[in-house]
Amino acid sequence: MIAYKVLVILGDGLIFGLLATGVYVAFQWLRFPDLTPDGSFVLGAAICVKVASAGYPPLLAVFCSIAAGALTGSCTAAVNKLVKVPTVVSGLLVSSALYSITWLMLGKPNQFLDSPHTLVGDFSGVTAVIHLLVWLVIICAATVAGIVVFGGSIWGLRTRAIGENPLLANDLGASERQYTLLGLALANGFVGLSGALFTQRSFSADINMGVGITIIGLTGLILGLLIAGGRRKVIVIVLCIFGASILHKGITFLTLELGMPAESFRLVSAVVLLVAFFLVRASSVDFLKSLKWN
Amino acid sequence: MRTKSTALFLALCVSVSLGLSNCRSPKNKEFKLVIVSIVEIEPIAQLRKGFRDRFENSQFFKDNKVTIREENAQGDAGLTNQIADKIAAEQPDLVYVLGTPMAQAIQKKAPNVLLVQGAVTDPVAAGLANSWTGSGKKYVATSDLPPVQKQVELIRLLTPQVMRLGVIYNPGEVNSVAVVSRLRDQITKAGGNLKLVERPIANSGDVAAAVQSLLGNIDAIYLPPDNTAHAALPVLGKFTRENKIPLYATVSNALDQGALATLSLDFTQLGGESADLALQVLGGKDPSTIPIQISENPTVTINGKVATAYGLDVSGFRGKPNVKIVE
Amino acid sequence: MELNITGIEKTFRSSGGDPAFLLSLPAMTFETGSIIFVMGHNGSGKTVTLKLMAGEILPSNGNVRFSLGGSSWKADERPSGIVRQQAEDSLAMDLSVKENLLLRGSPRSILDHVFPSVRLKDQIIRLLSTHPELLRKLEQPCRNLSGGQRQALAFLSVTSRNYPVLFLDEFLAATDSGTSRLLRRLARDYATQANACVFIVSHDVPMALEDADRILVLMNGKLIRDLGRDDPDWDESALMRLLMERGEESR
Repeated sequence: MIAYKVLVILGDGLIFGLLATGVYVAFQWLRFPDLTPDGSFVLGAAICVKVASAGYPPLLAVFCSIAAGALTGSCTAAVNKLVKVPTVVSGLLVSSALYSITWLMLGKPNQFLDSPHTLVGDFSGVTAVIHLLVWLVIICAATVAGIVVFGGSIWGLRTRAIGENPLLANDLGASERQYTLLGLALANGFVGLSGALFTQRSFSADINMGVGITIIGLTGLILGLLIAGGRRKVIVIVLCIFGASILHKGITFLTLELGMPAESFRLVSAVVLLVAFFLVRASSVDFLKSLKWN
Repeated sequence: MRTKSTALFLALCVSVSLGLSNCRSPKNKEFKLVIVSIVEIEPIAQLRKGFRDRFENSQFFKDNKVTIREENAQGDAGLTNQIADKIAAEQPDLVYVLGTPMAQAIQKKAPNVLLVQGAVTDPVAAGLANSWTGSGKKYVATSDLPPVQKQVELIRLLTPQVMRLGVIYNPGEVNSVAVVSRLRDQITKAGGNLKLVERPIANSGDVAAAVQSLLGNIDAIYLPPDNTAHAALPVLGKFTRENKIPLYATVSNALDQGALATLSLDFTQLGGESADLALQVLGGKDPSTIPIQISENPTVTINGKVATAYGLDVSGFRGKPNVKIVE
Repeated sequence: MELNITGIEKTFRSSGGDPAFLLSLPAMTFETGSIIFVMGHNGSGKTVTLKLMAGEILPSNGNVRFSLGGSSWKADERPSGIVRQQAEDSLAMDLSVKENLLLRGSPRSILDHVFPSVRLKDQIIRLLSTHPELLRKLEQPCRNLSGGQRQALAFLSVTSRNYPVLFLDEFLAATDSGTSRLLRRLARDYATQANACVFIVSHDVPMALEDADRILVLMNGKLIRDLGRDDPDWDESALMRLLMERGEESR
C-alpha cells in the first residue's frame, strides 16, 4: 500500500512538475504574471478526454491538448501586446473565456474518461500506476530535454533575454511581441500537456478543475527556485522544479493522510505558499519584484 | 407597471373575498390546488404520483370541489419566476411544490399561500423554514435528507467488519455538508467503533486523488448525495471495484457502477407523506408549528453480484420489507 | 569613407501640450574609424540624441537616416550597437556570461541556431581571450559579476557584432580606473578595426580631449560647437568654459 501511494505521489508530482515548468517559462523567462493556466489546464484536460473518448489514440489526444494550450497562450500574448491589456488582466480574461469555451466544447460540466481510452489502457491497481508512471517519466524526460535544448538555442536565449530585459529587443533586432507570443505559447503548451496527463489519472475532466491551478504551479516554481538556490542553468532549475512539485504533492498527500478537517484543506496549501514566499523574500531568488504588470 | 399592480390589486381582492367566504366552511367549497415541478425527472414524477394518490383518496377531496392544475418550469429559471408570479396573482388554496428554487420563488412572491414541499434537503439553510421543528411560516415539507441512522445500521448489518468509513464530498455543497455533519453526529451519538474519514473535493477531477488517499485508511466508502462526487461516480466505482471496497450510495444508478448497496428514499411514499401533512393543515393544524418530516422508510437495494464477489452473506436480508437485492 | 546622418528633430511636450523641449540637429558627416564625443550640460539632449540615432525612439518629423558608402538605412531598421549607461540594460542578468555573448553571436546554419553553445564556442573563447576573469566566469549568471566586469561584458557582447555605428552612453560611469583604461582602449581598437563611427556620451573633459577625434557640444537641444582636433578651442580650459558657461546660462 505504501509503495502504491509513493508511486501515485511521484506520478502526481511529475504531472504538476510540467505545470510548474509552464509557469516557470511565463514567470521567470518572460517575467509575465500569466494567469492563463487556470483556463488552459482545463482546456487541455477537456480536449484530451474529448478526443480520446471519440476513439482516437490517447497520444494524439495529448498532442491536441498541447496545441490547444499553446493557442491559448498566444491569445493571452495577443490580448496583452495588441490590445494593450495589462498582463494579469489578459490572463484572467482569456482564462475566464476558456471556462465557457471548455464548457461549450464538453457540452456538460464534466466528462468521464473510460480507462480503455487512457494511455495506460485497461490495467488496474498497482500495474496501472506503474504503467502510468513509465509514461509520465518518458514524457517528462522528453519535455525536459526539449526545454533545455530550446532554452539554449538562439530563439530560447532571445526569449529569455528579451523577457527579462525588453531593451534588448531593439539591440538584437528582434520583436518583443513575437517572443512574448512564443514564450507564452510554450508555457501554456506545457500547462495543456499537464492538464491532459492529469485526466489520465483522474479519469475525468471538470470545468472547475482549473481554479487555483496557477497558484499550485507557482508554488512548485518557487519551491524549485529555493532548492536551486543561486544556480540559473535551465536544466538545474527545471529538475529542481520537478523535485519541488513531487515534494509539494507529497506534503499535500500527507496532510490528507493525517486526517485534516476537510474545511481547512485549502488553508494548508495557502500556508505552504506563504512560507515559500517568506523564504523567497529572505533569499536571493526574488524575481517577483521584476514581474511586468503592463 | 400599471397593469401589473392592477392585477395584483384584483388578486388581493379575490383572495380576501375568498378567504372571508371560505372561512371555516369545511364542506363543499371550491378548492384550488396547483402542483408545481421545477423539472421533469423520475423522483419528481414519483413524488407527484404519491401525493396525488394519497390526496385524491382522502375524505377532504371527496367533501369538496377540488380543482387540480399542474405546472412545470422545465428547469428554466425564467419560467420558474413566471410561474411564481402567476401563483401570486391567482392565490390558490394550496401549492404542492417540487424543487427548492421553485419553492423559494413562490414563498417570496406569495407568502400567504399554503406551500407544501415534497422533498427538501435542508429547508433551514434554504431559508424556507425558520427551524426543523416548525417552519414559522405557511410552509410544511417532507425532507429527502438521507436517514443517516438507517444508513449506519445498514453498514453495521451488511459489513460488520467496517471500522473506518470514508466520506468523499464537496465542502462547498450545502446539502453534502448537512448530511455529513448529521452522519458525524449520529456516529458520535451511537458510540461504537465506527470512525469517519473525510476527504474534501473541489471538483470531480479531485475524486481519483481522494479515493487513492483513502485506500488503506478505510474499510468502506459512503457517498452522500453530493453532485460533485456523483459526477465522478464511474471513477469512484472503478477504484472501489479494483480494491474490493464496499461502496454505499444514495442513488440507485450507483449500483451499475459497482456500489455494494444504496439506501434510497421511496419518493412515491415520500409524496404520500407530504399529502398527509397537507391534509393535517387542511384539517385545522397550524402549518408554522409542524416539524419538517424526514422519511423513515428508505428502500435498501443491495447489489448481489458485488456482495458475492466481496464474500458477503446477504441471505439475512432476503424477504425483508423495503429491501431489494439485484443481481 | 564617410558616414552621413540626416538632420534630427524631436519635440517633447509638457503635460499641457506646449513644446517643453525641442531638439534640433543639422545633417552631419563623420569620418569612419573615428571617435566622436557628444558633450553638454545635464538636460542638453545628449542621451536623447543617442537614442534617436540608435532608433530606440522616433523623431517628430521624418526619419533619422544613415548613409555609408553605397548603403543607406533608417535608424530604427537595423539592430543598433548601443552600450548603455547601466551595463545591466545591455545584458540579461539571469543568463550566463556565455549565453549573453551567444545571444549576439553570428549563427549561420540551423545547427548554429539550435546548439549555439557548442557551435559558437570558439567565437566566444576568441572574444574573451584578453579577459581571463570573464572566461573564468563563463558559466556564471551575470548577476554574479562585479560592476566593472558587467561593463566589460556589455561592451564585448555589443561589439561582437560589427556595427558600422556604435553608441556608448556614459559607459565608463561605474568602472574603476583599470577597467576604464581597458574599455577606452577597446573603443579605440573597435573604431579602427571595424572602421566604425563610435559615438560616446560623456562628461569627462580630459578623457574627451585625449580620446576624441571630434567633439560635439550641445546646449538646450541645439548643436552649439563642433570641434575638430585642429580647432583653437581644443584644450581643457576652453572646453570646460564652453560647457560650464552655457550650462549656467541655461539654468
